[in-house]
Amino acid sequence: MSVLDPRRRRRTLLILLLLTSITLLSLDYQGFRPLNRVQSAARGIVDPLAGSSDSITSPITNAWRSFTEFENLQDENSRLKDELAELRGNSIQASAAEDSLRALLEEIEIDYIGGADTVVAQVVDRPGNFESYSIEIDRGTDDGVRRGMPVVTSAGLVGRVSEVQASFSQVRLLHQPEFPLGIRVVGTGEVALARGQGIGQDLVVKEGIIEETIIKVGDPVVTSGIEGSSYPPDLVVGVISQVEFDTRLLEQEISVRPIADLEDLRFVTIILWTVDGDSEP
Amino acid sequence: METQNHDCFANSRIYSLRRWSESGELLGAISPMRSAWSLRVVIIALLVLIFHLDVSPDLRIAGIAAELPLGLAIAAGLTGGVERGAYFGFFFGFAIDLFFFTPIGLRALVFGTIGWAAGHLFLDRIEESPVMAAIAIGGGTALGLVSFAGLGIALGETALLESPITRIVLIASLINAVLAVLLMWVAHWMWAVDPLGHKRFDT
Repeated sequence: MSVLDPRRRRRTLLILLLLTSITLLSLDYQGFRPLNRVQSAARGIVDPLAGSSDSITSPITNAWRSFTEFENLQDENSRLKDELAELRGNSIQASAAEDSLRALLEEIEIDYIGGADTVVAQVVDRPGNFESYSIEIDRGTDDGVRRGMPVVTSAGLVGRVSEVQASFSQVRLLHQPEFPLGIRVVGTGEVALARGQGIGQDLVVKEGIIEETIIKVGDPVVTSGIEGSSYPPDLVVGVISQVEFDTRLLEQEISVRPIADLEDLRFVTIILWTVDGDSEP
Repeated sequence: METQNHDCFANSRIYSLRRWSESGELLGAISPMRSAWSLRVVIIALLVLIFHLDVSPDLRIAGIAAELPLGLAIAAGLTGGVERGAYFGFFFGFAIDLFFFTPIGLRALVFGTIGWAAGHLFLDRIEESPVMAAIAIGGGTALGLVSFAGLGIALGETALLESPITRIVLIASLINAVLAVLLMWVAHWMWAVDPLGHKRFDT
Protein backbone atom coordinates (compact mmCIF):
# COMPACT_ATOMS: atom_id res chain seq x y z
CA MET A 1 0.00 0.00 0.00
CA SER A 2 1.36 3.35 -0.95
CA VAL A 3 2.22 5.70 1.87
CA LEU A 4 1.05 9.26 1.34
CA ASP A 5 2.59 12.24 3.04
CA PRO A 6 0.34 12.95 6.10
CA ARG A 7 -0.25 16.57 5.04
CA ARG A 8 -1.20 15.54 1.56
CA ARG A 9 -3.46 12.81 2.89
CA ARG A 10 -5.30 15.30 5.12
CA ARG A 11 -5.82 17.69 2.23
CA THR A 12 -7.08 14.82 0.08
CA LEU A 13 -9.43 13.79 2.87
CA LEU A 14 -10.87 17.30 3.13
CA ILE A 15 -11.39 17.54 -0.62
CA LEU A 16 -13.04 14.12 -0.60
CA LEU A 17 -15.42 15.13 2.20
CA LEU A 18 -16.30 18.39 0.48
CA LEU A 19 -17.03 16.64 -2.80
CA THR A 20 -19.12 13.96 -1.07
CA SER A 21 -21.11 16.63 0.79
CA ILE A 22 -21.73 18.57 -2.39
CA THR A 23 -22.84 15.37 -4.12
CA LEU A 24 -25.25 14.63 -1.26
CA LEU A 25 -26.67 18.15 -1.43
CA SER A 26 -27.11 17.84 -5.16
CA LEU A 27 -28.82 14.45 -4.88
CA ASP A 28 -31.11 15.79 -2.15
CA TYR A 29 -32.18 18.75 -4.27
CA GLN A 30 -32.97 16.36 -7.12
CA GLY A 31 -35.11 14.19 -4.83
CA PHE A 32 -32.86 11.14 -5.15
CA ARG A 33 -35.06 8.23 -3.98
CA PRO A 34 -32.38 6.03 -2.35
CA LEU A 35 -31.45 8.97 -0.12
CA ASN A 36 -35.09 9.18 0.97
CA ARG A 37 -35.03 5.49 1.76
CA VAL A 38 -31.95 5.96 3.93
CA GLN A 39 -33.79 8.79 5.68
CA SER A 40 -36.84 6.58 6.29
CA ALA A 41 -34.69 3.73 7.58
CA ALA A 42 -32.75 5.99 9.96
CA ARG A 43 -35.94 7.47 11.34
CA GLY A 44 -37.43 4.01 11.67
CA ILE A 45 -34.56 3.09 13.98
CA VAL A 46 -34.12 6.30 15.96
CA ASP A 47 -37.69 7.61 16.35
CA PRO A 48 -38.92 4.70 18.52
CA LEU A 49 -35.81 5.05 20.70
CA ALA A 50 -36.33 8.79 21.00
CA GLY A 51 -40.00 8.24 21.82
CA SER A 52 -39.30 5.67 24.51
CA SER A 53 -36.71 7.93 26.13
CA ASP A 54 -39.49 10.41 27.02
CA SER A 55 -40.44 8.54 30.20
CA ILE A 56 -36.83 8.76 31.40
CA THR A 57 -36.13 12.32 30.41
CA SER A 58 -39.47 14.00 31.04
CA PRO A 59 -38.93 14.51 34.81
CA ILE A 60 -35.67 16.31 34.02
CA THR A 61 -37.10 18.42 31.21
CA ASN A 62 -40.22 19.26 33.23
CA ALA A 63 -38.10 20.35 36.19
CA TRP A 64 -35.92 22.47 33.92
CA ARG A 65 -38.90 24.12 32.25
CA SER A 66 -40.59 24.92 35.54
CA PHE A 67 -37.30 26.43 36.74
CA THR A 68 -36.51 28.48 33.64
CA GLU A 69 -40.02 29.41 32.59
CA PHE A 70 -41.51 30.30 35.98
CA GLU A 71 -41.53 34.05 35.33
CA ASN A 72 -42.78 33.54 31.81
CA LEU A 73 -45.60 31.37 33.12
CA GLN A 74 -46.60 34.08 35.60
CA ASP A 75 -46.60 36.66 32.81
CA GLU A 76 -48.50 34.33 30.53
CA ASN A 77 -51.04 33.64 33.27
CA SER A 78 -51.69 37.37 33.70
CA ARG A 79 -51.91 37.85 29.97
CA LEU A 80 -54.34 34.96 29.59
CA LYS A 81 -56.54 36.39 32.35
CA ASP A 82 -56.67 39.70 30.51
CA GLU A 83 -57.41 37.97 27.23
CA LEU A 84 -60.15 35.90 28.83
CA ALA A 85 -61.83 39.04 30.15
CA GLU A 86 -61.57 40.64 26.75
CA LEU A 87 -62.91 37.55 25.02
CA ARG A 88 -65.88 37.41 27.38
CA GLY A 89 -66.62 41.00 26.53
CA ASN A 90 -66.42 40.27 22.83
CA SER A 91 -68.22 36.95 22.85
CA ILE A 92 -71.51 38.33 21.60
CA GLN A 93 -69.79 40.23 18.84
CA ALA A 94 -67.68 37.19 17.88
CA SER A 95 -70.71 34.96 17.83
CA ALA A 96 -72.46 37.35 15.52
CA ALA A 97 -69.43 37.48 13.22
CA GLU A 98 -69.22 33.69 13.15
CA ASP A 99 -72.88 33.45 12.25
CA SER A 100 -72.34 35.95 9.47
CA LEU A 101 -69.39 34.00 8.10
CA ARG A 102 -71.28 30.71 8.24
CA ALA A 103 -74.28 32.28 6.56
CA LEU A 104 -72.06 33.75 3.88
CA LEU A 105 -70.35 30.41 3.22
CA GLU A 106 -73.72 28.65 3.05
CA GLU A 107 -74.97 31.32 0.74
CA ILE A 108 -72.31 30.54 -1.85
CA GLU A 109 -72.68 26.79 -1.21
CA ILE A 110 -69.27 26.20 0.32
CA ASP A 111 -68.97 22.67 1.66
CA TYR A 112 -65.81 22.70 3.77
CA ILE A 113 -63.44 19.92 2.63
CA GLY A 114 -66.13 18.90 0.18
CA GLY A 115 -66.67 15.42 1.61
CA ALA A 116 -63.25 14.21 0.40
CA ASP A 117 -61.48 11.46 2.36
CA THR A 118 -59.16 12.79 5.01
CA VAL A 119 -56.37 11.55 7.26
CA VAL A 120 -55.61 13.09 10.63
CA ALA A 121 -51.91 13.43 11.41
CA GLN A 122 -49.89 14.49 14.39
CA VAL A 123 -47.24 17.14 13.94
CA VAL A 124 -43.85 15.77 14.92
CA ASP A 125 -42.42 18.18 17.44
CA ARG A 126 -38.79 18.50 16.44
CA PRO A 127 -37.88 22.11 16.97
CA GLY A 128 -34.29 23.05 16.26
CA ASN A 129 -32.80 26.45 16.92
CA PHE A 130 -33.31 27.53 13.34
CA GLU A 131 -36.70 28.44 11.88
CA SER A 132 -38.36 26.42 9.15
CA TYR A 133 -41.25 27.01 6.76
CA SER A 134 -42.18 23.35 6.98
CA ILE A 135 -43.53 20.92 9.54
CA GLU A 136 -43.25 17.17 9.70
CA ILE A 137 -46.29 14.94 10.17
CA ASP A 138 -46.49 11.28 11.12
CA ARG A 139 -48.39 10.10 8.04
CA GLY A 140 -46.98 9.05 4.70
CA THR A 141 -47.62 6.96 1.60
CA ASP A 142 -48.66 4.03 3.82
CA ASP A 143 -51.66 6.14 4.85
CA GLY A 144 -52.53 7.28 1.34
CA VAL A 145 -50.74 10.62 1.55
CA ARG A 146 -49.32 11.94 -1.71
CA ARG A 147 -47.27 14.94 -2.63
CA GLY A 148 -49.37 18.05 -3.30
CA MET A 149 -52.29 17.17 -1.00
CA PRO A 150 -53.73 20.12 0.92
CA VAL A 151 -53.38 20.16 4.69
CA VAL A 152 -55.91 21.89 6.94
CA THR A 153 -56.92 22.29 10.55
CA SER A 154 -60.45 22.81 11.79
CA ALA A 155 -59.75 26.52 11.30
CA GLY A 156 -58.56 26.44 7.72
CA LEU A 157 -55.82 25.74 5.22
CA VAL A 158 -52.26 25.49 6.60
CA GLY A 159 -50.25 24.29 3.60
CA ARG A 160 -49.48 21.48 1.24
CA VAL A 161 -47.62 18.16 1.39
CA SER A 162 -44.24 18.84 -0.21
CA GLU A 163 -42.32 15.62 0.47
CA VAL A 164 -43.67 12.23 1.36
CA GLN A 165 -42.08 9.05 2.67
CA ALA A 166 -43.61 5.77 3.82
CA SER A 167 -44.44 6.83 7.37
CA PHE A 168 -43.96 10.59 7.49
CA SER A 169 -44.35 13.66 5.33
CA GLN A 170 -43.22 17.22 5.11
CA VAL A 171 -45.79 19.99 4.85
CA ARG A 172 -44.88 23.37 3.40
CA LEU A 173 -46.76 26.10 5.26
CA LEU A 174 -48.64 29.01 3.73
CA HIS A 175 -46.34 31.65 5.14
CA GLN A 176 -43.31 30.49 3.12
CA PRO A 177 -42.20 33.43 0.98
CA GLU A 178 -43.52 33.25 -2.56
CA PHE A 179 -45.75 30.27 -1.64
CA PRO A 180 -48.39 30.64 -4.38
CA LEU A 181 -52.03 30.24 -3.45
CA GLY A 182 -55.04 30.92 -5.65
CA ILE A 183 -57.67 32.64 -3.53
CA ARG A 184 -61.19 33.94 -3.89
CA VAL A 185 -62.65 36.72 -1.80
CA VAL A 186 -66.04 35.54 -0.58
CA GLY A 187 -68.79 37.95 -1.45
CA THR A 188 -67.05 39.66 -4.35
CA GLY A 189 -66.02 36.42 -6.07
CA GLU A 190 -62.74 38.13 -6.98
CA VAL A 191 -60.00 35.60 -7.79
CA ALA A 192 -56.30 36.38 -7.30
CA LEU A 193 -52.92 34.90 -6.50
CA ALA A 194 -51.73 35.37 -2.90
CA ARG A 195 -48.15 34.77 -1.80
CA GLY A 196 -46.56 34.07 1.57
CA GLN A 197 -44.34 36.71 3.16
CA GLY A 198 -42.59 34.85 5.98
CA ILE A 199 -43.26 33.56 9.48
CA GLY A 200 -45.97 35.51 11.28
CA GLN A 201 -46.70 37.63 8.19
CA ASP A 202 -49.95 37.87 6.28
CA LEU A 203 -50.27 36.60 2.71
CA VAL A 204 -50.24 39.37 0.15
CA VAL A 205 -52.03 39.83 -3.17
CA LYS A 206 -50.15 42.42 -5.18
CA GLU A 207 -51.97 42.32 -8.48
CA GLY A 208 -55.17 41.25 -10.07
CA ILE A 209 -57.64 43.16 -7.87
CA ILE A 210 -58.90 46.13 -9.86
CA GLU A 211 -59.80 49.48 -8.37
CA GLU A 212 -63.56 49.08 -8.76
CA THR A 213 -63.76 45.86 -6.70
CA ILE A 214 -65.16 46.53 -3.26
CA ILE A 215 -63.16 44.57 -0.70
CA LYS A 216 -63.41 45.23 3.01
CA VAL A 217 -61.22 44.29 5.93
CA GLY A 218 -62.73 41.19 7.52
CA ASP A 219 -64.01 39.65 4.28
CA PRO A 220 -63.44 35.87 4.31
CA VAL A 221 -61.04 34.34 1.79
CA VAL A 222 -61.16 30.78 0.42
CA THR A 223 -59.15 28.82 -2.13
CA SER A 224 -60.16 29.65 -5.68
CA GLY A 225 -60.10 26.11 -7.05
CA ILE A 226 -59.83 27.41 -10.58
CA GLU A 227 -58.67 24.96 -13.24
CA GLY A 228 -55.09 23.84 -12.66
CA SER A 229 -55.10 25.04 -9.06
CA SER A 230 -53.17 23.00 -6.52
CA TYR A 231 -56.08 23.09 -4.08
CA PRO A 232 -59.71 22.08 -4.15
CA PRO A 233 -62.10 25.00 -4.18
CA ASP A 234 -63.51 26.74 -1.11
CA LEU A 235 -61.07 25.73 1.60
CA VAL A 236 -61.08 28.51 4.19
CA VAL A 237 -57.80 30.45 4.08
CA GLY A 238 -58.34 33.52 6.24
CA VAL A 239 -59.73 37.00 6.31
CA ILE A 240 -58.75 40.25 4.64
CA SER A 241 -56.58 42.17 7.10
CA GLN A 242 -55.58 45.17 5.01
CA VAL A 243 -56.61 46.81 1.75
CA GLU A 244 -54.37 49.37 0.06
CA PHE A 245 -54.57 51.07 -3.30
CA ASP A 246 -51.54 51.09 -5.57
CA THR A 247 -51.73 54.42 -7.39
CA ARG A 248 -49.08 53.37 -9.88
CA LEU A 249 -50.73 50.14 -11.05
CA LEU A 250 -54.27 51.36 -10.29
CA GLU A 251 -54.87 48.11 -8.46
CA GLN A 252 -55.62 47.13 -4.91
CA GLU A 253 -53.04 45.37 -2.78
CA ILE A 254 -54.67 43.20 -0.14
CA SER A 255 -53.32 41.27 2.83
CA VAL A 256 -54.86 38.02 4.00
CA ARG A 257 -54.42 36.82 7.57
CA PRO A 258 -54.52 33.01 7.72
CA ILE A 259 -57.13 31.78 10.19
CA ALA A 260 -55.13 28.68 11.18
CA ASP A 261 -52.37 29.31 13.72
CA LEU A 262 -49.37 28.24 11.66
CA GLU A 263 -46.91 28.58 14.52
CA ASP A 264 -48.63 26.25 16.97
CA LEU A 265 -49.82 23.21 15.07
CA ARG A 266 -50.35 19.93 16.92
CA PHE A 267 -52.75 17.97 14.72
CA VAL A 268 -53.62 18.55 11.10
CA THR A 269 -55.91 16.95 8.55
CA ILE A 270 -54.68 15.91 5.13
CA ILE A 271 -57.31 16.04 2.42
CA LEU A 272 -56.73 13.07 0.12
CA TRP A 273 -57.12 15.20 -2.97
CA THR A 274 -54.61 15.61 -5.74
CA VAL A 275 -54.34 17.53 -8.94
CA ASP A 276 -53.97 15.27 -11.97
CA GLY A 277 -50.35 14.51 -12.60
CA ASP A 278 -49.31 15.57 -9.14
CA SER A 279 -50.18 12.46 -7.21
CA GLU A 280 -46.88 10.62 -7.32
CA PRO A 281 -45.42 10.09 -3.87
CA MET B 1 8.34 14.91 32.30
CA GLU B 2 8.46 15.02 28.54
CA THR B 3 10.74 11.97 28.48
CA GLN B 4 8.53 10.07 30.91
CA ASN B 5 5.51 10.77 28.76
CA HIS B 6 7.34 9.71 25.69
CA ASP B 7 8.44 6.46 27.27
CA CYS B 8 4.97 5.76 28.49
CA PHE B 9 3.64 6.43 25.03
CA ALA B 10 6.21 4.25 23.31
CA ASN B 11 5.30 1.31 25.50
CA SER B 12 1.57 1.57 25.04
CA ARG B 13 -0.72 -0.10 22.56
CA ILE B 14 -1.42 3.38 21.27
CA TYR B 15 2.01 3.44 19.72
CA SER B 16 1.03 0.81 17.23
CA LEU B 17 -2.06 2.81 16.30
CA ARG B 18 0.11 5.80 15.55
CA ARG B 19 2.35 3.72 13.33
CA TRP B 20 -0.66 2.44 11.38
CA SER B 21 -1.91 5.94 11.01
CA GLU B 22 1.39 7.21 9.70
CA SER B 23 1.51 4.44 7.14
CA GLY B 24 -2.03 5.26 6.02
CA GLU B 25 -3.47 2.00 7.28
CA LEU B 26 -5.31 3.24 10.35
CA LEU B 27 -8.78 2.93 8.90
CA GLY B 28 -8.10 -0.33 7.14
CA ALA B 29 -6.55 -2.13 10.04
CA ILE B 30 -8.58 -4.80 11.77
CA SER B 31 -7.91 -5.16 15.46
CA PRO B 32 -9.76 -5.58 18.72
CA MET B 33 -8.84 -1.97 19.50
CA ARG B 34 -10.62 -0.74 16.41
CA SER B 35 -13.77 -2.74 17.03
CA ALA B 36 -13.81 -1.39 20.60
CA TRP B 37 -13.83 2.25 19.55
CA SER B 38 -16.15 1.61 16.62
CA LEU B 39 -18.80 0.31 19.01
CA ARG B 40 -18.25 3.23 21.36
CA VAL B 41 -18.58 5.71 18.50
CA VAL B 42 -21.93 4.21 17.49
CA ILE B 43 -23.21 4.23 21.08
CA ILE B 44 -22.17 7.84 21.73
CA ALA B 45 -23.45 9.07 18.37
CA LEU B 46 -26.82 7.42 18.95
CA LEU B 47 -27.17 8.77 22.49
CA VAL B 48 -26.22 12.31 21.50
CA LEU B 49 -28.53 12.14 18.48
CA ILE B 50 -31.49 11.07 20.64
CA PHE B 51 -30.63 13.73 23.21
CA HIS B 52 -30.46 16.36 20.47
CA LEU B 53 -33.78 15.33 18.93
CA ASP B 54 -35.82 14.60 22.01
CA VAL B 55 -34.39 16.23 25.13
CA SER B 56 -32.37 19.24 24.07
CA PRO B 57 -35.37 21.14 22.62
CA ASP B 58 -36.96 21.08 26.11
CA LEU B 59 -33.81 22.30 27.88
CA ARG B 60 -33.55 25.75 26.39
CA ILE B 61 -31.73 28.75 27.75
CA ALA B 62 -33.25 32.04 26.59
CA GLY B 63 -35.08 30.07 23.94
CA ILE B 64 -31.95 28.45 22.53
CA ALA B 65 -31.20 24.72 22.75
CA ALA B 66 -27.71 23.28 23.04
CA GLU B 67 -25.93 22.23 19.85
CA LEU B 68 -24.17 19.24 21.37
CA PRO B 69 -23.60 17.31 18.12
CA LEU B 70 -21.43 20.11 16.79
CA GLY B 71 -19.58 20.30 20.11
CA LEU B 72 -18.98 16.56 20.02
CA ALA B 73 -17.68 16.72 16.43
CA ILE B 74 -15.16 19.33 17.55
CA ALA B 75 -14.18 17.32 20.63
CA ALA B 76 -13.78 14.25 18.40
CA GLY B 77 -11.27 16.16 16.29
CA LEU B 78 -9.46 17.60 19.28
CA THR B 79 -9.02 14.17 20.87
CA GLY B 80 -8.84 11.95 17.81
CA GLY B 81 -6.92 14.00 15.27
CA VAL B 82 -7.64 15.18 11.74
CA GLU B 83 -8.89 11.98 10.16
CA ARG B 84 -11.10 10.84 12.98
CA GLY B 85 -12.47 14.34 13.49
CA ALA B 86 -13.29 14.68 9.80
CA TYR B 87 -14.88 11.25 9.42
CA PHE B 88 -16.84 11.48 12.67
CA GLY B 89 -18.03 15.02 11.87
CA PHE B 90 -19.09 14.05 8.37
CA PHE B 91 -21.03 10.90 9.24
CA PHE B 92 -22.55 12.35 12.40
CA GLY B 93 -23.58 15.50 10.53
CA PHE B 94 -25.10 13.33 7.81
CA ALA B 95 -27.04 11.33 10.42
CA ILE B 96 -28.49 14.53 11.91
CA ASP B 97 -29.32 15.88 8.45
CA LEU B 98 -31.70 12.94 8.06
CA PHE B 99 -33.92 14.30 10.83
CA PHE B 100 -34.27 17.94 9.81
CA PHE B 101 -35.62 19.88 6.84
CA THR B 102 -32.37 21.53 5.96
CA PRO B 103 -30.71 19.99 2.88
CA ILE B 104 -29.14 16.58 3.43
CA GLY B 105 -25.39 17.06 3.28
CA LEU B 106 -25.30 20.55 4.80
CA ARG B 107 -24.48 19.46 8.35
CA ALA B 108 -22.24 16.71 6.96
CA LEU B 109 -20.26 19.39 5.15
CA VAL B 110 -20.03 21.75 8.12
CA PHE B 111 -19.40 19.13 10.81
CA GLY B 112 -16.86 17.28 8.65
CA THR B 113 -14.91 20.45 7.93
CA ILE B 114 -15.06 21.61 11.55
CA GLY B 115 -13.95 18.16 12.77
CA TRP B 116 -11.10 18.23 10.26
CA ALA B 117 -10.05 21.71 11.38
CA ALA B 118 -10.32 20.75 15.07
CA GLY B 119 -7.99 17.83 14.38
CA HIS B 120 -5.26 20.32 13.57
CA LEU B 121 -5.53 21.60 17.15
CA PHE B 122 -4.78 18.09 18.35
CA LEU B 123 -2.35 19.28 20.95
CA ASP B 124 -1.68 18.16 24.49
CA ARG B 125 -2.12 21.63 25.87
CA ILE B 126 -5.76 21.78 24.79
CA GLU B 127 -6.51 18.52 26.53
CA GLU B 128 -4.64 19.52 29.64
CA SER B 129 -6.35 22.87 29.99
CA PRO B 130 -10.11 23.02 30.48
CA VAL B 131 -9.98 26.70 29.55
CA MET B 132 -8.28 25.96 26.22
CA ALA B 133 -10.76 23.16 25.53
CA ALA B 134 -13.66 25.53 26.31
CA ILE B 135 -12.24 28.18 23.98
CA ALA B 136 -11.66 25.66 21.19
CA ILE B 137 -15.09 24.05 21.47
CA GLY B 138 -16.97 27.34 22.04
CA GLY B 139 -15.16 29.05 19.17
CA GLY B 140 -15.57 26.05 16.90
CA THR B 141 -19.30 25.91 17.67
CA ALA B 142 -19.69 29.59 16.78
CA LEU B 143 -17.77 29.08 13.54
CA GLY B 144 -19.77 25.97 12.70
CA LEU B 145 -23.15 27.61 13.32
CA VAL B 146 -22.25 30.70 11.31
CA SER B 147 -21.03 28.47 8.46
CA PHE B 148 -24.19 26.37 8.66
CA ALA B 149 -26.48 29.40 8.54
CA GLY B 150 -24.43 31.11 5.82
CA LEU B 151 -24.27 28.06 3.57
CA GLY B 152 -27.95 27.29 4.19
CA ILE B 153 -28.98 30.80 3.18
CA ALA B 154 -26.72 30.62 0.13
CA LEU B 155 -28.50 27.38 -0.84
CA GLY B 156 -31.87 29.10 -0.66
CA GLU B 157 -32.98 28.13 2.84
CA THR B 158 -34.44 31.56 3.50
CA ALA B 159 -36.16 30.41 6.71
CA LEU B 160 -32.72 30.60 8.33
CA LEU B 161 -32.83 34.37 7.79
CA GLU B 162 -35.84 34.55 10.09
CA SER B 163 -33.92 32.82 12.89
CA PRO B 164 -32.22 34.82 15.64
CA ILE B 165 -28.79 33.80 14.33
CA THR B 166 -26.70 36.03 16.62
CA ARG B 167 -28.52 34.81 19.72
CA ILE B 168 -28.27 31.17 18.60
CA VAL B 169 -24.53 31.47 17.94
CA LEU B 170 -23.77 33.24 21.23
CA ILE B 171 -25.82 31.05 23.54
CA ALA B 172 -25.14 27.70 21.85
CA SER B 173 -21.39 28.45 21.79
CA LEU B 174 -21.47 29.39 25.46
CA ILE B 175 -23.33 26.20 26.38
CA ASN B 176 -20.84 24.06 24.47
CA ALA B 177 -17.91 25.94 26.02
CA VAL B 178 -19.30 25.25 29.50
CA LEU B 179 -19.75 21.59 28.58
CA ALA B 180 -16.30 21.35 26.96
CA VAL B 181 -14.74 19.22 29.70
CA LEU B 182 -17.63 16.77 29.53
CA LEU B 183 -17.47 16.65 25.73
CA MET B 184 -13.72 16.03 25.81
CA TRP B 185 -14.18 13.26 28.35
CA VAL B 186 -16.88 11.63 26.23
CA ALA B 187 -14.70 11.91 23.11
CA HIS B 188 -11.77 10.30 24.92
CA TRP B 189 -13.97 7.45 26.02
CA MET B 190 -15.37 7.17 22.51
CA TRP B 191 -11.92 6.77 20.94
CA ALA B 192 -10.89 4.42 23.73
CA VAL B 193 -7.74 6.39 24.47
CA ASP B 194 -6.18 7.76 27.63
CA PRO B 195 -6.82 11.42 28.28
CA LEU B 196 -4.11 13.93 29.06
CA GLY B 197 -0.55 14.03 28.07
CA HIS B 198 -0.26 11.26 25.53
CA LYS B 199 0.32 11.83 21.88
CA ARG B 200 -1.58 9.03 20.29
CA PHE B 201 -2.12 8.83 16.59
CA ASP B 202 -2.43 10.98 13.53
CA THR B 203 -0.89 14.08 15.07
